[in-house]
Amino acid sequence: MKKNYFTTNISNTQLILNEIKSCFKVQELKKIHFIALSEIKLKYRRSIIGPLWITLSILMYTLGISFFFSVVLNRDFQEYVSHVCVGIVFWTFLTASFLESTSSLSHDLSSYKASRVSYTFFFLKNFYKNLIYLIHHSLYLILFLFIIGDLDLSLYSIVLFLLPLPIILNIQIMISIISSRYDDFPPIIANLMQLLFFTVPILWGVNDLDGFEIFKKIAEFNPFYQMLISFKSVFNMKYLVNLNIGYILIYYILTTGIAFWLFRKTYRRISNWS
Amino acid sequence: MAKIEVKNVSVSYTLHNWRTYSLKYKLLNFFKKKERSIEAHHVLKKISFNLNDGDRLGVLGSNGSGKTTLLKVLAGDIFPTSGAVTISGKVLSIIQLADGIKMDMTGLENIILRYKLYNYSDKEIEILKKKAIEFAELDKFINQPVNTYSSGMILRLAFGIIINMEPDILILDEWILTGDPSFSEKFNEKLEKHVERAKILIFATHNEDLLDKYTNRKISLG
Repeated sequence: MKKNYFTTNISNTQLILNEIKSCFKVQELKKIHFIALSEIKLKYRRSIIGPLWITLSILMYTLGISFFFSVVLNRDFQEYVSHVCVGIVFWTFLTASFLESTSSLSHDLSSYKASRVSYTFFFLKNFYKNLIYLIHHSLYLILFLFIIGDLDLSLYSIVLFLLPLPIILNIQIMISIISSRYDDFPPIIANLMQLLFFTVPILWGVNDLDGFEIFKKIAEFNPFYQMLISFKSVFNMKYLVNLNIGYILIYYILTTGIAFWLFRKTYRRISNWS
Repeated sequence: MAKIEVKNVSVSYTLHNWRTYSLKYKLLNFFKKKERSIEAHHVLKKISFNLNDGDRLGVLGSNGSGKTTLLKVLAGDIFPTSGAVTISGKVLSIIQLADGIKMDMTGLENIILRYKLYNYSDKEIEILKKKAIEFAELDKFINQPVNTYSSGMILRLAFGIIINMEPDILILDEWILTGDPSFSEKFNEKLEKHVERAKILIFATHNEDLLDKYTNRKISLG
C-alpha cells in the first residue's frame, strides 16, 4: 500500500531527505534486496550457470587481451594479467552501473509506478544490483589472483572496497536524472564509457607515462583511476602507494554536491519526464 | 482517519518537441536565444477541496479536462506545479490497472513483487497470493511469463492482486470493464465491495449513472 502520510507542502530538500530516511529502513532495504535479486534471477533465467557466465566471459576476454598486449607491450604475462584482470572487473561494474542508470528512472519508474516507490529506491536498487555482480566477480577474482600468486588481502580490504562506492552512486544519480530528461543522453554515456576505457590505466599503467610528467599528473587526477586504484588495493596492498585520499575526498564532495543539487532542482519534474 | 487536503492545486505541462528532449541540441544552442515556441499547457487551475472519512468524490469532465491528472496528483504519481496536497491514509490508485505488471516475469512473481512493494509481510503475502490466484482463475498459467497471457488474463491478474488490498483511500479512473461475461460479474461484485470498504473514494468517469450510484460529492473539471 502506498505511504500513510504524504504532503507536497514541503521543500524539495525535505522531500529528498524524507526519501533517503525511509529508504534506509530495514523494510525498505529488504525490498531493495528482494527486487535486485529478482531482476538478476530474471536476467539469467535461461542460463544454467547464471551470472557465472559473465565471470567466465570476463576471464576469457582478460586472458585474450592480456596475452595480446603483454606481447605487444613486452610485459611479463603473469604480472600483466593480474593488472588487467582487476581493471576489467572494475570497469565492467562501472559500465554496467552507469548504463543501467540511464534507464533507471525512464524505464523502472513506469514499471513500478502503480506502487509509487521513491526515486532514491531506484537509485539504490540499481546500485545494489550491480554491487552484487561486483562482489560475485570479486570472489572469483580472489581465487584467480591466488592461483597466479598475486593476492595480498588485508584488514583494510573492505574499507578500500567501500571507498569509491559513494562516488559511483552519486554519478549514477546524476546519469539517471539527466537520462530521464534527455533522450539522447544514454547513447552519449555508452560512447563516453568506451572512450574513457582507453583513458584509464587498465590496459596500460601510469608508469608508462614516466618522462611525461604533465600527462602522468592528469592520469593520476582522473577520478576513475583513483577509484580503480582503491579497488586494486583491495586485492593487493602494493597498489596503495598510488592512492590519493585527498583526490577521493574531492570527488566525493563534488559528486555529492552536484548530485544533490540536480536532484533537488528536478525533483518535482522527474515524474513528468519519465 | 483518512484525510485529503487539496489547496490551490495547479498543474501545467510543458509541450515539448524533439529539440527540447535533445541534450546535444541544447548544448549546441546554449548561447542562442531561448526558443519561445515552448508552450505550457495548463491542465488544472487552482483546485481546492477537502475530503474526510465517508466522502465519495466523483470527478466529472470531458476528455482532456484533467481528470486523470488530478487522480495522478492525488495518487502521488506527479507533483502539482503549484499548490499543495496532503494525504493521510493508505492509498490505492487504480488509474491504469495493468501498470506495474512486469511482462517478463511470471504471474506468480508479479503477485509476490507487487505485494512486497506494497509492504506486506511474507506471511501476509502467502495468504494474499492464494486469494489472488484463485480470483484471477490463472491456476495452471500462474507460472508462465505474463508476456504469454492474453489481455484479459493480464487484467484478471492485475485485478486479482489489488482486490485483496484494503486501502483507506481508493482512487479509481473509470469503472473497469472485462470482456468475459462470467468473470465480469464476479469482478464487478468484488469491485463494488472494494469501493464500499474504502473510507474515501475518488472516482473519475464520464458515466453519470455510476457517479450517482457511488459518489456523494462531485467536482467538475474543464
